[in-house]
Amino acid sequence: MSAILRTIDLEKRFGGTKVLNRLNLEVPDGSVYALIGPNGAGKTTTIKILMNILRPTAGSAEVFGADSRHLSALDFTRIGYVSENQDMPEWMTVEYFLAYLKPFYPTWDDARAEELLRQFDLPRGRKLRHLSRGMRMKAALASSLAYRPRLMVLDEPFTGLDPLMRDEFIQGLLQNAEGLTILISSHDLTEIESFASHIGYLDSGRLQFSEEMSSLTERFREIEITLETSPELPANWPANWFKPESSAMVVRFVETRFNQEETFAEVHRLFGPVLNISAAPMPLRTIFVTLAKAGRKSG
Amino acid sequence: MRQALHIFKKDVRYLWYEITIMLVCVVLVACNLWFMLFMLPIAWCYVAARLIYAEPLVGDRLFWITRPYEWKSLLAAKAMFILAFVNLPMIVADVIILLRNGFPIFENLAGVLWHQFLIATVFVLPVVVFATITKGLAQLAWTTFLLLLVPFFLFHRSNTTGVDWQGLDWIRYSFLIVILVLAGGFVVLRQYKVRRTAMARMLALGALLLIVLEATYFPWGAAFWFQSWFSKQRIDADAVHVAIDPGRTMPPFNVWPGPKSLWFQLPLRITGLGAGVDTRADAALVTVGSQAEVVNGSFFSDGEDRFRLAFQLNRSAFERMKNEPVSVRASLYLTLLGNPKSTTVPRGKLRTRVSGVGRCTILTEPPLFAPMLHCLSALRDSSDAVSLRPASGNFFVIARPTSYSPYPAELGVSPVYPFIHEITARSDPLVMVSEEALTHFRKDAEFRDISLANFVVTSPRTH
Repeated sequence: MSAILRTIDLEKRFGGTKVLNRLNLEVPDGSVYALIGPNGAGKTTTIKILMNILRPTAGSAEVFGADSRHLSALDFTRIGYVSENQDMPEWMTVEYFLAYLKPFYPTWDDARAEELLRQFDLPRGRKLRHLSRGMRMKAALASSLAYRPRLMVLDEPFTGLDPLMRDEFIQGLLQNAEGLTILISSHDLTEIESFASHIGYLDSGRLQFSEEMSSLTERFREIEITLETSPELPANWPANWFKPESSAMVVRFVETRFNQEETFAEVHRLFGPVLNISAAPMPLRTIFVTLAKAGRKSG
Repeated sequence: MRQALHIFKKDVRYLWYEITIMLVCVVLVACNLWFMLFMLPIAWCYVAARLIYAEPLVGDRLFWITRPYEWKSLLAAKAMFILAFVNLPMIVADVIILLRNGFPIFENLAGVLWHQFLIATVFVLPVVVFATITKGLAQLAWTTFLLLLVPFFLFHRSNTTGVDWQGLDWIRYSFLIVILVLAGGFVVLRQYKVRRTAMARMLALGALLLIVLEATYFPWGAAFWFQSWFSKQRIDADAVHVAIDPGRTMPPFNVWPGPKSLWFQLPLRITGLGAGVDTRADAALVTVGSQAEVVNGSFFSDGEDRFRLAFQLNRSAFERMKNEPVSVRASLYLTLLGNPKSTTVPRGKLRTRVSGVGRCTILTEPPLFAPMLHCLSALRDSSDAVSLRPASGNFFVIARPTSYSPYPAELGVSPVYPFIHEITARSDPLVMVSEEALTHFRKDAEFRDISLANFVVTSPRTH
């Protein structure tokens, strides 16, 4: 798959603070790419550079193969951008908002816009300023899906939304995702896990990893070992085993490169005979917390 | 163009309330409610700022920048709005006001259009520039307030020589407008094209500094030199001779000497000016003895080739120099007036057209205590000097040209400029003589071995 979004050694400084540090990221065409990371990791900055809202200090960002600094009006007819912290034209009613945007997009689909209004249950005559946060996000999403963009960029779209609203938002997005590449940054990992195909973990302005969701969940396992005697953690603890804990005769850790044969062999090599080994799959949220804590310790 | 029109329609819908208020202000101005002249520029500035902030250019939360806006269309939409709701109503108001005051539209058409250019560049453009580099109205208001303190302070400091800029002000303001249009236009274009706010702010600040420096330190002498290029007739300044006219009895000069200064009057005879011209001085800079201070004197014509140069000197300097002959150097910035045109202005409500001035009448109705000559000029101050010749009594001059500007309009909200002068009852009816400025030139003269004590103006109290 070719990359629809790409950053090459991207750097961004705000004053003396380096927010992005030689970031190299690729979002494959047709993927749902989730960019996750702790607060201040640089997710929003990356997205804003990709959308030409901010300028990079060094390196470059590409959208549809072109430098993001030269994104034209024509390019934006193929891009949808929804952000939790975007200032909307709040004086407009929902209906006028869509009517106003329509002439900007040659591919605007009236039927789809109508359908989105119905699906999101948006009050047509109400001004954007009088909508709840969730409704405003849905209005923004509806206005971005109605012209069938090729790329949808969502920056923290679930912030402040209740579970029902999140569900409706995701449903609306996925039902209209045909032929769409999605880049989404979010803290809401439970929701992300349900629909992302790729995941990138950003920390301190660097991409720690970027891979397919299936590969990520395959390689992360919570390992629990039951020993015959009270254990002592070995000095030569493998670097890819995170979060070691021991209590009574049990040792727990997170294996970040799980391969059943190799991991179990390594356990036997370090601990000798064991009574039991279990390798439990981890939800994305737990993987994220593990990585974030590990990153904080090493940082 | 379609996109620009689409954005324009949206802005009209968004700002309909402000547009209504602005149009009401224009209607009130057209209806002769003069107090609205102060409100209208405020309304223009407010609407211009709101217009720009409809699609703000500063910040990273802007809705429109990730939408397919063409920057040229956006800018064109804003320009269309200014034209439609600032300039177009003002054109209509100008036409109504001019017609009501008896000014023919066709011959003032260029002035009406130039008036719109001045309104757009001087009232609206600065607000647009600041709005493109600030986040909102509050930031704009604070920025404007703080930045205006600097020119206010400098303007206040700059007026120390006492030289009157009035006739030449158009030169200073022409340069200001050129800087404003070039720098302001560049900032606006750049912001709409690339949104580099930090750089745009630096540029705007640099331009403001340039404007302040230009307005504060533009040398008056250079402005006069520039003005001399616009002379309708040339004169050989070397052929003009200025000399002291010692034996002449001078008319009384009613000034009260201050506790620290004295006035002096030198009778002059100036030859070589040519026949049929009237001479005025736009400035008369005088240096006495070896003192470095230059003072601005007053220059009077006593008819034919007789003139007077009056100036003030502090008492301590006089005490030092009174017993010895000193040199007095004078730089006279002279304007020769000619081509007189006489018009009889009768009493009554009907205004009479006076060439180079406008339309004049003599008002006598209560609550006026004395008859008033009341003239209105179209779109600018009068370009000609005005003299009055009453039915009985002497010819006397009441005004030199208010502006030497070659432009068909000057900056102001109203398209008519009033000119009022009290006249005595015996002046009615009177003949107004207007003369146009023909030549501007500088003449330097030095008078040696002057005994200042012979020319001191004695206080009326001491007589």
